[in-house]
Amino acid sequence: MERGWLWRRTLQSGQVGETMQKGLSGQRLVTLFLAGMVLFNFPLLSLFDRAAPTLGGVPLLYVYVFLVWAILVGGMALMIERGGR
Amino acid sequence: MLSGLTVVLVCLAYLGVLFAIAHFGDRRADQGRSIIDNAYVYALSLAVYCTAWTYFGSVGRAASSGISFLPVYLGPTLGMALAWLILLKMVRISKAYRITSIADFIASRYGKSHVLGGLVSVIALIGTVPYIALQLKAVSSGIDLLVPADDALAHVANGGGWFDTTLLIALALATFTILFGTRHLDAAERHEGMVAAIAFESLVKLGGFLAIGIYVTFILYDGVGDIFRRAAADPALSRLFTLAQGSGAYGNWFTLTLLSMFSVFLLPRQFQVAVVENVNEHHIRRAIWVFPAYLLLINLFVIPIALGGLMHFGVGGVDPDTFVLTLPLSHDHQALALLVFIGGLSAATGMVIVETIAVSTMVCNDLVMPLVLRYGGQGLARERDLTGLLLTIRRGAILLILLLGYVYFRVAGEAYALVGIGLISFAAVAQFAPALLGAMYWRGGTHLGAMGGLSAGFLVWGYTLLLPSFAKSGWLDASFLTEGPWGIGWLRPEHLFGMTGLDSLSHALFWSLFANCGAYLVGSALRPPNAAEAGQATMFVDVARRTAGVGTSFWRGTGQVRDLVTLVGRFLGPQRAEDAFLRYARLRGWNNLDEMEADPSVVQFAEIQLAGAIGSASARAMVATTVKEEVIGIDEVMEILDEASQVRAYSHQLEEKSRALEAATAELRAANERMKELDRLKDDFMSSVSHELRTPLTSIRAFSEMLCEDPKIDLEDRKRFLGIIVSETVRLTRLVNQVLDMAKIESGHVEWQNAEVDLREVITQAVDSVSQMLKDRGQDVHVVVPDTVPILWADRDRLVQVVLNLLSNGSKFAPKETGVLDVRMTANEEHVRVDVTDNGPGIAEAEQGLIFEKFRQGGDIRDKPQGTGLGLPISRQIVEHFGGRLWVTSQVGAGATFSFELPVGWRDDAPDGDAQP
Repeated sequence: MERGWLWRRTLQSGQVGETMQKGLSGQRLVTLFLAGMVLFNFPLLSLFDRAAPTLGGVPLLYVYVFLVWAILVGGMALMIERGGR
Repeated sequence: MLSGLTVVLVCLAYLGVLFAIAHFGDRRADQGRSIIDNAYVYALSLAVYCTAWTYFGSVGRAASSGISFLPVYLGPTLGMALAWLILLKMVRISKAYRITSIADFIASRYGKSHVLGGLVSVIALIGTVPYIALQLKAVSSGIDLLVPADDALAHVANGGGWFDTTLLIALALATFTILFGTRHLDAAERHEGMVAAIAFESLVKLGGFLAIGIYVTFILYDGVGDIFRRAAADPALSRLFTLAQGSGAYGNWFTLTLLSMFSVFLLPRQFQVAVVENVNEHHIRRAIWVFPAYLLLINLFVIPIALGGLMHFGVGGVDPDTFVLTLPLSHDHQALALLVFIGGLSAATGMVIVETIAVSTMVCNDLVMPLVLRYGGQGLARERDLTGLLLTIRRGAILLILLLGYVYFRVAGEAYALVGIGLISFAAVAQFAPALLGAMYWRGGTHLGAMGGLSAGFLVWGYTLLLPSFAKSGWLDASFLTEGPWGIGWLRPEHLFGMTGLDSLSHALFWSLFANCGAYLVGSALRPPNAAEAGQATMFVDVARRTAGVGTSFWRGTGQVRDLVTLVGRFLGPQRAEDAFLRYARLRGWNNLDEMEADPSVVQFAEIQLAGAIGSASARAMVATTVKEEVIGIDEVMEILDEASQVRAYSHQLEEKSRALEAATAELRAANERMKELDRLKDDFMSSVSHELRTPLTSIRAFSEMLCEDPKIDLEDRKRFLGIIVSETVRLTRLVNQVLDMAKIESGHVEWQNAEVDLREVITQAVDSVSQMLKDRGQDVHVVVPDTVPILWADRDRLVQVVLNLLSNGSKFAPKETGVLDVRMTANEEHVRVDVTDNGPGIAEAEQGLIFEKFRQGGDIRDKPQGTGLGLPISRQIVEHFGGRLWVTSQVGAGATFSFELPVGWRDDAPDGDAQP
C-alpha cells in the first residue's frame, strides 16, 4: 500500500511516535471512507428514508444525510489538522 | 428589470477582474512568489468540480426528485478520503514524468502509445464538448432571464442568428483561455494565473449560492424548518422528503456515488487542477477536508431553494433550474439576482476555461502532434524552432473546442442530449478508471488490455447512454429505445440483453464497466507485458521508491548531447532548452554541455522535458529519431527492474572485489616474505663471503707479518710460509672468481661459448685435472663411459667445471687413502647422465636440499672441509642453464651420488643463438 507523505514527512522529522501517528491517520481516513460508503448507502440509508419523524420540521432523511456528511468532513479535518500532533 | 447594457457590462467587468487576477497570478509566478502555493487555493481550485450544472441544475434535480442529486457530491467527499492514496500517486507520477493530461498518463503507462493517447483524447473530447455547451446554455438562459424582452440588447441576445451574447462570452472565454492557458510553453504545463482565477471563481460561486440560499431560507421564509413544514402540507412536495422507494432509487444512489467518486479524479478539468496544476503535493493533505467542506456548504440550501421555488411558483410553473434567478427577480431584488447570476457565470466560466485547457492539451499532444510529426514532411524537419507551431495548435484547439461547444449548444437547444449531459459525461470519463487505476497499482496491464478496455467501455457507453440521449432528443427514431435497433428486442440500448430493474445510468455504467474491465483484464492476460510496458509499469507502480528525474531507464542508446539540446529546443525554445540542460548538467557534475555525455539518463531527461511539451508518446518518437537505440529485451528490463537482483549483483561485485583485494594482499604479503628472505639471504651471503674472504686473508697476513718481522726465519720455514701464502692467495682468487661467476650466472651476464661437446672428453679432461690431487690423497677414481654418446650443444669449459666440481666435492668427503670415486656415464636418446659416487659418510636427508644453497657445506662445522661453498650452486646453475638438472641421492654412512642429466638436442634459444637454424 502506498504510504505517501503521511509517512514521509514524519520520517524527515525523525520521530518514531509521530510516524506511527501519521500512519494511523492514513488508516483512519480509509476507515472514514469505508464508514461513509456504508452509512451513505442501502441498507442503512433505508432506515432513515421516511418523512416522519422530523427534527424541527426537517425530514429525518435530510437530517441524517447532512449530519453524517458534516461528521465525515469534521472527522477528516480533525485527522488532518490535529492527528499528526 | 435590469437593462441589457448593465448585465453585459457587469459580465464584462467580471471577466475583466478574472483577467486581472490571472495576470497578477502569472506575474507573481514569474517573480517566484506564487500566490497559489497554498492548500486552500488548491482546494478551491478543485471546486471547479461544481459547474453551472451544480449551480442551476442541482435545484432543478432537487425539485423533481428530492435528495437524489446529493450523491454527486457525496461521492467526491468519500473519494477525497482516499486522495492521499490515489491522487497523491497520480501527482507524483505526473511530476516525475512530466505528464500533462489524462490521455498522456494512460498512453505513457502502456508503452507510450500514440493510438491509446488518441483514443483517450477522443473519448474526452466527445464527453466534454456537450458539457461545455451546457455551460454556455446556462449563461445564455441566465441572461435571457435578467434582461427584459423589450431591451435593445435582447434583439441581439434572443434575436436568433448566429451572433449573440453567448457567442460573445464564448469568444471572451477563448481569449482568456488562450491568454492564460497558452501564455508560453511550459514544460510542466502549469498555469498559475489561470488557477488563481479559478480559485477566485470558486469563492464567487459559493458566495453567490450562499447568498441566494440565505435569502430564500431566512428572508422569504422563516428558516429551514419553516420551509419543510410548509412543504409537508403539499403532497406533491412531501413526496420529495424520501427517496422514491422500490424504484431502484438506492441503486441509482449507489451508481451516482461511485460515478462521481471516479469523476473527481478523472474528469479532464479535475485532472488538470488536481494533478497538473498542483504546486506542492502537501497541499493534497488539507484539500482532503477543505474540498468536501466546500461541497457541503454549497449544497446546504439546494433543497430549501427548490422547495421555496416550487411553493412560490407552483409545480410546473417555472423551470426549477432557474429558481436561483427567478426567485429574487419575482420579488424585485434585481441586484441580488445579478449577484447570483455572476456566481453562476463563474461556475460556468471556471469549468469552460479549465476543461478547454485540459482537452486542448490532449488534442494537441495526442491527436494533432503525432499526425504533424508523422506527416509534417521535410519543411517541418528543417524547422529549428517549433514552439510557435505548438502554441498555434494549442490556441487553435482551444478556439475550436469552444466553438464546437457553442455550435452544439445552438443545435441541441433544449434537447435531452444537452440537459442530461452532466451524468453522461461522468459516465464517459468513468471509462478511464480501470486503465488508470490499473496503471498505478497493477504491473500486468498491457497496451492491448488498455486499448481493448477503453474501446469496449466507450462503445458500450455510446450505445447505452449517448445514443439513447439522442433518441430522447428526437434525433433518432424513438423505436430505437422501445423496440431496439431493427426491432431486435434484446439489443434495446437501455435494457441490454433484456436487463431490467436498473435505471438507465446504472444500466449503462454496469454494462460499460463490465465490458471495460473484462476487456482490460482479458487483453492484458493474452500476452505478457513487453519491455516498454514492463518498464513503464514499474516506473508508475513504484513511483514512490524511484527518485524523480533519475529513474532507471529501460533502454540503451547513444547520441550527441548537442543533438538532444537542439531537439528539445525545437519544442521548448532553444534558450530554454539550453538552460534546462545546463541546470541538469550542473546537477550531474558537468560544467558545460560539451563535457556532457549522452548516457541513458541524459537521454531520458531530454525525453521527459519533451514529454511536458508534446506528450510522452511523441517525445519517445522524437528522441528515437536523434538517438541510436539498441533494442533492449524484456529479460534485460526485468533484470533492471528486479531491484533485489540489482542489490545481489552489487553485493556480488563487492564480494568479488574484496576477494581480489584479499588475493592481492596475500600476494603482497608473500612478496614481502620473499623480499625479507632474499634480504636475509643477501645478508647471509655477505657475511659468508666476508667470512670466507677473511679466513685466507688472515693466514696470508699472519705469515707475511712473520716473514716481515723476523728476518732470521730459516729458509725451510720461509719456503713453507710462502707456500701457504701462495695457496691461500689461490684460494682467495678462486673464491672471488666463483663469487663473480655466481653473480654473473644469476644475473644472466655469462657469455656461453656453446659448441658441439662430447661429454666423454669432458669427463676425461676433468678426471685428468684432479688425478694428481687424488693421488696425493691416496684416493682412486673409476670411470665408466659408454661407447657411443650423443653430441651435446653446450659450453665445454662450463661442463668441465661442473664435473670437476663434483669430483673435488666427492674427494673432499671421501676418506683419505681408502677413498674411491666412481664416475659413471649413461646415455639414451633423450638424456645423457653422469653419476659421481663417493664412499664418504653420506648426507643426511635433511641436508640434501641445503647443500645446493650458497656457502652451505656438508659436514660438521668444526671440521669444515676446504672449499668455498659455491661449487654446487654454480654447478646446478650451469646444468639448469642447459636444460638439465643436478641432484643428489645419498644415505648416511653409504656415500653419496651426485648426478646430473642433460637433454639431448638442447639448443640455446637465447638471442645470440639465432645463428643456429
